[in-house]
Amino acid sequence: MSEHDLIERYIYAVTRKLPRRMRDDVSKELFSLISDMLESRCGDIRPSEKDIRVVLTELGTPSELANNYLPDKINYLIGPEYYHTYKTILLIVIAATSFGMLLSGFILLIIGSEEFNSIFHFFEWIGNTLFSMIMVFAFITFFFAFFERKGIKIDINDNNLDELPPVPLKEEVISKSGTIFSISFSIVFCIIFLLIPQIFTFTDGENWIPIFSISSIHRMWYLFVLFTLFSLIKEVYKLYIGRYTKKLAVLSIVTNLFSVVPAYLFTHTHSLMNQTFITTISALFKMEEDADFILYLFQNIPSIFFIVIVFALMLDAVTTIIKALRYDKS
Amino acid sequence: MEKDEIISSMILELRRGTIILSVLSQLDLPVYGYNLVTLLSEKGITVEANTLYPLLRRLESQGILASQWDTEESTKPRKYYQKTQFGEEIYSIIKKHWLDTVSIMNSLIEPEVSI
Repeated sequence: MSEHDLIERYIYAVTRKLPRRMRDDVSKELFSLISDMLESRCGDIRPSEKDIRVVLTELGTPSELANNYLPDKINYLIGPEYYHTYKTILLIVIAATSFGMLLSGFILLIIGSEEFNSIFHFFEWIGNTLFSMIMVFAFITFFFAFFERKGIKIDINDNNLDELPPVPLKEEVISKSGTIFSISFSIVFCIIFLLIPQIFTFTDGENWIPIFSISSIHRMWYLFVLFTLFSLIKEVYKLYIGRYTKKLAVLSIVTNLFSVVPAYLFTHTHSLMNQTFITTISALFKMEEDADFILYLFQNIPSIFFIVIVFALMLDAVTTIIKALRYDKS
Repeated sequence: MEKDEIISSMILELRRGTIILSVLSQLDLPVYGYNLVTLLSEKGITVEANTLYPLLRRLESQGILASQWDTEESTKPRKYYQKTQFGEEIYSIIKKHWLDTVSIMNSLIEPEVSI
């Protein structure tokens, strides 16, 4: 290998990492620097390959040198501004997801489901768990990287001293542990409900009858995930902001409104309930006086669910609005 | 071991602030990068070429230095840097800050001597 080749390769490795407009000039400059360094090292004697290696080592690795040339603002995938929140969220969500996955796998193993009757399936499940963790990791990272790239400020504006919010009173603070619990619970519930809806069962004394139609749930899983996602966005923001603000109130209204759509579709598109369950129930209450009414109630469980969900969403939004109006004086 | 590490990182921190001033002090006339390295090292200031070259470029982009390629003087083309008018102004202000800082620091760390 010729000596020049080594120098050229070194310079190329440096300039390759630099913006295009800088490359030619830096490359010329480095070339003359290296020959100056060689000259001062060897004088008029032709430098050996070893000399070149020493000089290039003195300059540092190409990536170190390129970093010195790059402007101060380094491009982060997730910069220091977001990193802390990112790490917290990642930890909670991954912990909750793996817990939910493992728990549902364990339950399947214990109840001896048909498709889950050997230890082999359990290992397969662990594989699925790992896969889901990777997915979650990718999703959250993508989300934060998007924020970083677009420079979306999620922080409270602290450039202006006058805009710093007052120290919150005790009741204004949203409890961190409460939010973490509700994030974890939504994730674990979502996983268990979607993966093993058969654990929600009813017994007439002889048979275990699943309450929900498993095939319908499997067909509409994404609606449930979407619903959970909307509530997660709100909870994550709560965790981040840590107090009741008008922004949080607006976000709650928006996410809760959006949640209504998947909630309605989930309860009304396919028959959510297991028909065998309905018939068994109606058979049980046949003798009762208001059998018709009871049957009517059971047949409309999805609508009742929907009404309860909408009511809960409204209640949540209204309490958030009231608290925001009371505490956020900005 | 740890003590040495702490000391060397503190010295590095101290030196970092002085590099720009040392560089600017030497650029009344056009000087090329490697010449500046040797100039400074003769006067007891060690600046690595891999720090100096990017720094010169940054100062140029801030308008403090101006550069020119000299392709005639020798067979080797070299880029010469020199303070601009603006750089001159900046330098005198920073120099004053430095002198003030030095005298304050001296009175802080060696009170008997300065009084």
